[in-house]
Amino acid sequence: MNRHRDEEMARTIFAEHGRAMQLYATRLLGDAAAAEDVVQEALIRIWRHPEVLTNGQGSVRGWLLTTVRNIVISRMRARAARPPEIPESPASPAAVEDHASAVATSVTVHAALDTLSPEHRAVIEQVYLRGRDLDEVAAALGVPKGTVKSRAHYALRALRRAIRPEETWERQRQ
Amino acid sequence: MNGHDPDELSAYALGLLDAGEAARVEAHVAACEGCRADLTELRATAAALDQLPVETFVHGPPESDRALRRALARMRRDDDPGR
Repeated sequence: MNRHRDEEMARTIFAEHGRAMQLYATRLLGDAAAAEDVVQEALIRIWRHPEVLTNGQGSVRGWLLTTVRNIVISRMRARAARPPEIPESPASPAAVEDHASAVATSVTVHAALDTLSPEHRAVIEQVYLRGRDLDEVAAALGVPKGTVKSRAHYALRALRRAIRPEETWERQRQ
Repeated sequence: MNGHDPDELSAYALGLLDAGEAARVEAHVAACEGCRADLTELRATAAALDQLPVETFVHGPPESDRALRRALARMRRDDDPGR
């Protein structure tokens, strides 16, 4: 309908989430070219469901990665249905689906991450991207190790509240 | 870890501590019911994070913009986006 706005949306999504989608699809498929097809399809799907961007439920990142996973699964099933022409795939559909069920339940966790302050989110991101090496995380963020630990604590506490809002985090101590 | 130290507990739950620091946390937690309960909840949250694909934490565009260009071409071709 509004072509300019739609194209801007696709460019914006790709600029922020394209690398995550591409890497995730490549890891699941073991094939960067096939992964590009999957990313293209995911962009088309969010174009057809733009309400995902504005409904305030869950996170765009969570929706996109879940969509990437769903596309990968359906393509693997299609491949398995015609085995002779298809080379061995690096991950079986069953393995991907095992992993995927965990991803599906984690849409809430994606949304919880979106509630963190930039400082707290950065600590969690660095911890996961840098293999939990405290020195590297502290160096990457340019803060002392004690600050990393302190922010990690606030981040975990905030995530806990966001994931399970009905439970109180702090316990009474005598 | 001397006394209750939530920062050390969180770092422990995330696997950030070295062996010596971790041993001190474990010794404290073994003797402190409150910190033990806190640690259980911190670990549950860390486990929820562990479920996410690591790509969750990657930002920016990929090296090639081929997927974007192809998607834009399809969008231009496709008069009916199916809305």
